[in-house]
Amino acid sequence: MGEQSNKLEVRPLEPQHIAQVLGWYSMRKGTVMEWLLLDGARPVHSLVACEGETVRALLPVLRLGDPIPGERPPMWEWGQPLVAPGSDAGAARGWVETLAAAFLRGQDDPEGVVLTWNDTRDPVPFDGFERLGSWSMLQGLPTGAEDGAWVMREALPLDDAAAAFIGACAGASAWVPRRSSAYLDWRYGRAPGGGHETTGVLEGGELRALAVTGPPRWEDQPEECLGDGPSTHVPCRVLPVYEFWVAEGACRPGQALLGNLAGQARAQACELNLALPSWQPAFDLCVGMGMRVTPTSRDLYARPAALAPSGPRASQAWNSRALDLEALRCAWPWSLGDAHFSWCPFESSGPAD
Amino acid sequence: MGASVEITSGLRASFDQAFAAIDPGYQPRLQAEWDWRTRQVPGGAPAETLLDRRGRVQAHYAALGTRVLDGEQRLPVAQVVDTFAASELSLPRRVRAFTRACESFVESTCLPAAGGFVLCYGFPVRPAWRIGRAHLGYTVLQEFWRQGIGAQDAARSSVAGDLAFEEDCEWPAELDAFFAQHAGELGLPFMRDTAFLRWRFDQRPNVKYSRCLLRRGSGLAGWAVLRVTDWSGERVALVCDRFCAPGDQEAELALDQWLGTQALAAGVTHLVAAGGEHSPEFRSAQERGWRIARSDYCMVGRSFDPDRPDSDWARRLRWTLADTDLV
Repeated sequence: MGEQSNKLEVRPLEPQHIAQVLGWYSMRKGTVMEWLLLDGARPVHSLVACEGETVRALLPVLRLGDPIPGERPPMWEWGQPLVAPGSDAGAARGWVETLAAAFLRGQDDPEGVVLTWNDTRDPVPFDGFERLGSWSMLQGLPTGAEDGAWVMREALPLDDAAAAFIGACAGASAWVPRRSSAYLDWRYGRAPGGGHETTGVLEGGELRALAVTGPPRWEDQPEECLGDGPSTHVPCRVLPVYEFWVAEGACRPGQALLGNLAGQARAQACELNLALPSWQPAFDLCVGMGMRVTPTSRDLYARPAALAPSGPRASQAWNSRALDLEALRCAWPWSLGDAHFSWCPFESSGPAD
Repeated sequence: MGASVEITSGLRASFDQAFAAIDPGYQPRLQAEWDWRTRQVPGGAPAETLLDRRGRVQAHYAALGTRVLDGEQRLPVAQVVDTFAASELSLPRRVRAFTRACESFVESTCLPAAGGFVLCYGFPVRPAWRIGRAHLGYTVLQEFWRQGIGAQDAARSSVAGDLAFEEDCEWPAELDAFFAQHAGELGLPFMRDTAFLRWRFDQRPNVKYSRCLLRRGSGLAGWAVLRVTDWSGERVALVCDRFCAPGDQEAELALDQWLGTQALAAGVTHLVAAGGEHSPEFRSAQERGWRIARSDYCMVGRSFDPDRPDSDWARRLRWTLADTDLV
């Protein structure tokens, strides 16, 4: 990469940089960061800004799904930038801008898009992003007894057949991050800490619905009152559903799967927690079984994965031409599994207590 | 916020022509409807009309003025409605004319103009807001969630013994203070007072709304407004407005009961309301059995106050169908 800005150099993230970053925040587990950003089976896209051998800032970057060269525009996710503590605010801002510009300059697909989830209690740390919307979840314990008429298969392997099933459910939109078996193995099979479970519903031996859940966790949720005081958040124990895919027209298998997941959640004293765009039929299925649409404290932002012309008006006009937000919103079948940085945070993404 | 627009015969003709071109079922408005939508609007109804050299309408950008309550402040905001560009223009010229009319409207009626609107918002169908985004700086503020419940289910809700309904009565003077008392718990709610409610529901020509006041003893505990109509292809009872003190579950249940009963009496099986996910009532409505679904609309807007970014409005605005021109 080799970009120079005074003594600052932008480089691809390497294993030796991780130790410095972990030291900044006394993070206890480097394994999550190494798994997300430096897994040997996936290309490295994250960048660091260094002065000499000293890391000043890290831009965490992941590509959603697997690349399909020449077929679909890439979808990137940026995590919150990590900056050496105690740095001058102006310098820190400059490092992050340099990293962002270096990444964008290095892109060769003008239709690519960068996404970032941002807590509304914090300012968006990057320029050029447009708000795609609030990030709401579906949460609750669906009603209805588990349906014994369906063959429920737990510990389903996330193999090529499962990947093909997800691909078929997701549809042919340009905005579908492809999940191959290699991606699924990395994302859920080799995630540090483990605890991901796969459940499928079979009909005549054919997979009709599939879900991947993670280990239970506490989800910080805004309270209802939106008065003048500081917004408060209450923790809620949830069983996250990272993937929830239902074959077209397979409403009853989908209901059976949700009923099974509800049983799993109930057994662990949790509510289910999943993310689906409202245009997906599975959204209505979940709501129909009593799951609530629940706002979170996060917003989702998007921008074209390319450098904009300079100047705010030029930049805005260019953004509007380069990225059709409405098409993205209505064609990207997102799931909780796509939000790598928000729901698989590094052990601590901020200064240690 | 600017004076209300004067609807000339030329403007009316252009309006009719533009909307008839995109809506085969379009029916020209009566003068009484125009009056209600312009000079009778409590918050004003400013507009900017772009004319060519011969005085023909090229584009029109109009709004209904209203207010959002932020603590003690009453912030002037504008619901953008009835905008169009002349249908005989080519697409590029229509876009240019429309953009010029909008820019002129913004310059004369929005901040930093003195007393200007701090926010412009609207409820377009989703494809339509692309023009606003590309040329006018609009962004999606909130989802337009459709909230539905079976009228039978709503009608079965319990009504606590100390609550009673008053139907189709005058909006009482105590309403203003009742709303102001609880508004601080609502984020940034669109203003409710007797002047607004009278204009919105009592004075509108040719549209019949049913309403009730909910009383606890002699004191006001809430209200609801209902309209039975065809909407998005089905016959429904639309909850045009409802309010009670946030957290007053007895009042919420009682209002559900009244709405469900009214819908059934009108021969309608479903109640439909709308709102954003950050409304304080959003969660409790779901817990009472209201189910959420997507709609064809979204709430878009543009902030003109540098201290209130779009994301702030997006998180805190509280609205009902009364704050749209859809019902």
